[in-house]
Amino acid sequence: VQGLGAALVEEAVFDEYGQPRSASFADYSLLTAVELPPIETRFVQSPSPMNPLGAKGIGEGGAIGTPAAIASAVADALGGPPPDPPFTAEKLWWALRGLA
Amino acid sequence: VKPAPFEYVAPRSVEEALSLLGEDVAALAGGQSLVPLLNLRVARPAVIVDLNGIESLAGLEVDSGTLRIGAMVRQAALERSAVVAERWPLLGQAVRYAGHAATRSRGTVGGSVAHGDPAAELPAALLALDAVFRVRSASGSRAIAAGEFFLGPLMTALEPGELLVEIEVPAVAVGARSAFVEHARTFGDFATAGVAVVLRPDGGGAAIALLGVEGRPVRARAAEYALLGGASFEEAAEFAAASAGDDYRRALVAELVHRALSEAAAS
Repeated sequence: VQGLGAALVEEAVFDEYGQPRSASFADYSLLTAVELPPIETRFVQSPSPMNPLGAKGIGEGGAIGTPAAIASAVADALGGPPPDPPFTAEKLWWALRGLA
Repeated sequence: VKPAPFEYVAPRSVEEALSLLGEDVAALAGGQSLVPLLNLRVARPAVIVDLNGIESLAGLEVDSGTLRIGAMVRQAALERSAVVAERWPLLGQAVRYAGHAATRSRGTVGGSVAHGDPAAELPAALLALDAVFRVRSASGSRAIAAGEFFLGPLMTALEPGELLVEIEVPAVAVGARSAFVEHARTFGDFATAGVAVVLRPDGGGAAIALLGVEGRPVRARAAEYALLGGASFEEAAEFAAASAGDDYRRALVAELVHRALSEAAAS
């Protein structure tokens, strides 16, 4: 969900003077439970050879693959490079119209 | 941030509240808009008159076919009312988009109206339903039609010293159907644009109210006349969106109006 938010809505906006324009959650959009898609979890076991337990860090794993997957889907739909994320409805509308 | 200092008064009756209102005085209803504005120090009233102790403002009843919503009726009460769901379904459809469940349990119908946010759901729904706002002051009372109440962003026809006490919603034509549709970045966020529709039976046309399109909720009159003249939903939607802004905004509003009309017709 962290990755989905980054790809779809989250954006730190600055004005021409460098002032942050998204300094509160009134301006900075975050996904909530309503936007949550069904999530299926699977495990791929690939123990690390570097330590006796085979342990690895897995923090924020969902934030790594998700934006790339969404950006690839957008690129596939547009048949070309995607616009800058986040892929808001408005940006995608303009991008699709650019194709027409 | 915490609010600038203010004096707090909690009257027990409308008369007492009216004697306290005036310049530089803010009326506190559910506080879901006013309190954030206070904490951001965008609003700095000298006095806050808390209306929460006035029981006579909290009535929700049907009186000879007219729905009477006391200004302090919670949005959640409107959402859960069986009579509203049955006879004024548009209000139930719209209120679900107003903030979140938690804010609706405190937020009031009157507060949303008096605040006058151009992206608010209830003002647009009430505009589509031809509601009338009952207003009182220490020197008298008046009724303001929804079409004349909203003047601009956070600006209404309420004068200093006036208090919105009740909202009257006339009966909806038998067989009329309604729909509410909006687009927001995420569900519950402020709407980018939205539309409230009451579709009258037997080719009687529709009432179409837009939110988030201008600085106040507006009726899409050109679209309403077009429908009466036999235009299709697609054509009416184009009329409604004509002045909505750039190409994206026009496409968005036309799509929302088309969806709302189609949804109402199919309900």
